Amino acid sequence: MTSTTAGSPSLASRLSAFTKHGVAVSYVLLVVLIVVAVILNPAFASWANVKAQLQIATFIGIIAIGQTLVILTGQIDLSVPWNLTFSSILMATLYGQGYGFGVAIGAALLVGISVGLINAIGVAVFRLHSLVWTLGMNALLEGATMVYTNGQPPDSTIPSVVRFLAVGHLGGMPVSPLVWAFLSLVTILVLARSRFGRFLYATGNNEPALFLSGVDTRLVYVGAFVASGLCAVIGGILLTGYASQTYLGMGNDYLLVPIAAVIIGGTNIMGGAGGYVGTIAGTLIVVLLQSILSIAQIGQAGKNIVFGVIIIALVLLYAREARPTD
Amino acid sequence: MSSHPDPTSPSASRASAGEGTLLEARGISKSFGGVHALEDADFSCEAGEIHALLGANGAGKSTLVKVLSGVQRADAGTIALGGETVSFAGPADAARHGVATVFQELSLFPHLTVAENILIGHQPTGFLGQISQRRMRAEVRGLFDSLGVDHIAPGAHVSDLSLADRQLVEIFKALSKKPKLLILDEGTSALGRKEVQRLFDLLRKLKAGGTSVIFISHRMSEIREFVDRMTIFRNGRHVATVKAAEASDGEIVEMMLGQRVERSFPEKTAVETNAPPLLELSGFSAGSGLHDISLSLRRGEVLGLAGLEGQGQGTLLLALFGAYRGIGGEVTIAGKPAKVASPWDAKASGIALIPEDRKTEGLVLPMSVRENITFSVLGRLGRFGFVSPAKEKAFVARMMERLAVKAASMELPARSLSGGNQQKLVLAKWLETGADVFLFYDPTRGIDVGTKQAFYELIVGLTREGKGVILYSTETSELIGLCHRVAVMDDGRIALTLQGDDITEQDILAASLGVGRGRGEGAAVMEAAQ
Repeated sequence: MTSTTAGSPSLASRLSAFTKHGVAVSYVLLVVLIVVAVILNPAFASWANVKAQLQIATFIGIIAIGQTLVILTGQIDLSVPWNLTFSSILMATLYGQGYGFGVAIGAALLVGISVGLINAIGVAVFRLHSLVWTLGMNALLEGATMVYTNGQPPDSTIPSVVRFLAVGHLGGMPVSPLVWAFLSLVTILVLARSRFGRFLYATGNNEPALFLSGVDTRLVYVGAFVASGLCAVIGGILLTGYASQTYLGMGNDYLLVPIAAVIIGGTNIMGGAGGYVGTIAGTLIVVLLQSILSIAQIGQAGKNIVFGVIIIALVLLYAREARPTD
Repeated sequence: MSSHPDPTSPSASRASAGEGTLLEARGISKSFGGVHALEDADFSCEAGEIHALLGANGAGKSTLVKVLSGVQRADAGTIALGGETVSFAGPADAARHGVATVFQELSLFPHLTVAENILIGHQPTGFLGQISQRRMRAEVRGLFDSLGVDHIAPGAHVSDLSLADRQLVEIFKALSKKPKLLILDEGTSALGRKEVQRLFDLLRKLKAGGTSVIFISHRMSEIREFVDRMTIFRNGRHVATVKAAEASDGEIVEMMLGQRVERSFPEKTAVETNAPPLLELSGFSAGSGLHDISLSLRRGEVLGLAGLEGQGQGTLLLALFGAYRGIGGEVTIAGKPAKVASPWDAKASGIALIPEDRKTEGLVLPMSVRENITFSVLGRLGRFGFVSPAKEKAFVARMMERLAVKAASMELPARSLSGGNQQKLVLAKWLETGADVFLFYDPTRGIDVGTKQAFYELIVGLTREGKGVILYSTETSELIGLCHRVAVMDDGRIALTLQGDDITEQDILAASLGVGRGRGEGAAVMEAAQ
């Protein structure tokens, strides 16, 4: 067998060489979008607007932390929407029933941990693909929420601490982006420096090799899915504080958008490559894109088309590179 | 050294084409990524004969079958069928030309009936185009009757049949295409003595009906009496074609072995025979692939595993490393019961594995040399779950120096290294895990001669440190050069353990083929043949 191409690098190979740096691509895209947004509407650069954009980016960004970890192992977490909704409603209801703030938050976090654990068991023990398993989990949680609320919009009482975390200010800075920034730093550090981070990448690239190195790869999945479950809960709690209420279906917008942020940020959907630095850019890109499309008065249908096209195009671009070379 | 004629001489190597030649392959070459599986190989088969194809592991038998059956295309050479040059587009095309093949792996649908499996793809249909179960069963019953098979019901589900009967169904599936030539790859590997007899009764009837059969088997002694001629392959080349009655077992073994490649091995470490065993297995088993293995390994000793490919050597190593479910029996290390329920248990018990395929099992190819070397020891290279970059780099540098890993930087992906250096990375991650027992699965396959030599030094080096090594190798010379004892495996069991001077190529191959048992019998058979 001989290869058909030789000599100077083709456009495709140069393109794929560039896209190897998915993180770089995403930051270039981000800068372009900011420039476009400011040109379209100079008020875009105002502090008030930046704060508003960051506020929205926080929910997506925190949920995308969990998705990044899960996607790095080659899996996906589709249980986010109703994990988020159920845990938020549970927290608000318990608080409304007079339980303490700690109990309410603790119960919500416990839901997230349990959901993550069950997701991981399906993937690591029963060896089912998370696409199916977590989708089932999502449906189950939807049902549980309906049973718990009798299908009525729940009465919400929001703890003031939650309000503060979501919309409060600390020395002129909004608190929730600070929460996001803190969690981002922890995530980046864990991915770059911890044993768990190393094993996430190895699992996504070649789980059998890690398994045959004497590493319990089941725990890697547990770590990733529990983190994702917790991130969904934290995102939901902040969203509850932001909206001052919980409602059925509040998580519906937080399934595909964070996944899009992860992919746009250059993390390989098949796992093993990428990271949270790229996801931050991806998150800001999806938020900016939504704003720009709003400014340009493009409706929800048009937005969906633009998002779909971007995700498909990027997945194609990254898939070129993932193809075996010989 | 040898007094008999060199079987590789050209006069003996060209198979002559007789009057009733059905299949004639000439100058067939096929290589995979630079490795020649077949090189200018000839093969011919008469009409109405049963022809056995023999050769050691990697001799090119299976590749030849794949080329003849249209599964793979030869890089060079011609195939003539009934005097006409043919080029098959695939197995279905070959079947249309009258060449049907039964491969090693069974391809039946367990939940369909025998008749449905046999006639799959060309089921008889009723007048509305619907598949007629009745006609299908009648047709299969007719096929069974004509060849004297009366113990399998056409309506039975394949999942209810024994392995031997499934293999028969597989053969009938091939026969339903009414081939002129039937090729059976490893047809008897799953069969007992009585079942082999039944299979050959069937093949004889086919032969009487004018069908030719090419039969590939390792069980030389079992099949000799049934076949007309035998062709021996070695290293991708045709060595000789002989009438089955005219060659002795010893001569055939000699032809399969050919000339030895001389290689220098480091001196074996002296093992104290009275020392208590480091590792001891008793009644060790794993699923259906490994039965009742009892063995012991002392400090400083290299225990070889030999035998034909797929006789449980790999299963034994993986099971001992905890990568298999359903293991039974006892494992003790240094006199204490050892837990090997998982790779992490095995690691904690002091066992290390260098697995079969370094690219898929040994390494995470896109990740760096540094990351690959430290997977097994990462916990030690930092605190609180975090890795200390300084400690890690120092460790990696030390390992790379110790094993002389050639890489421009420890940050290069493992993918970019040569095969030999990749294999060194796999070994490097185990050197400081505190492992006492090192399991090697064919560690030098596909690596260059120089690095092979380095690996021999490394293996012997481990034994000098008092480690125990179990080495499975497909290269017999390595087993002879490195091992204190060699256990020859057959069908998931240890058939024979050779020791000291008894470890010879003849004895290993003879024991692998099941033609000689005990000390020097292989050699004795060959002497008698002269």
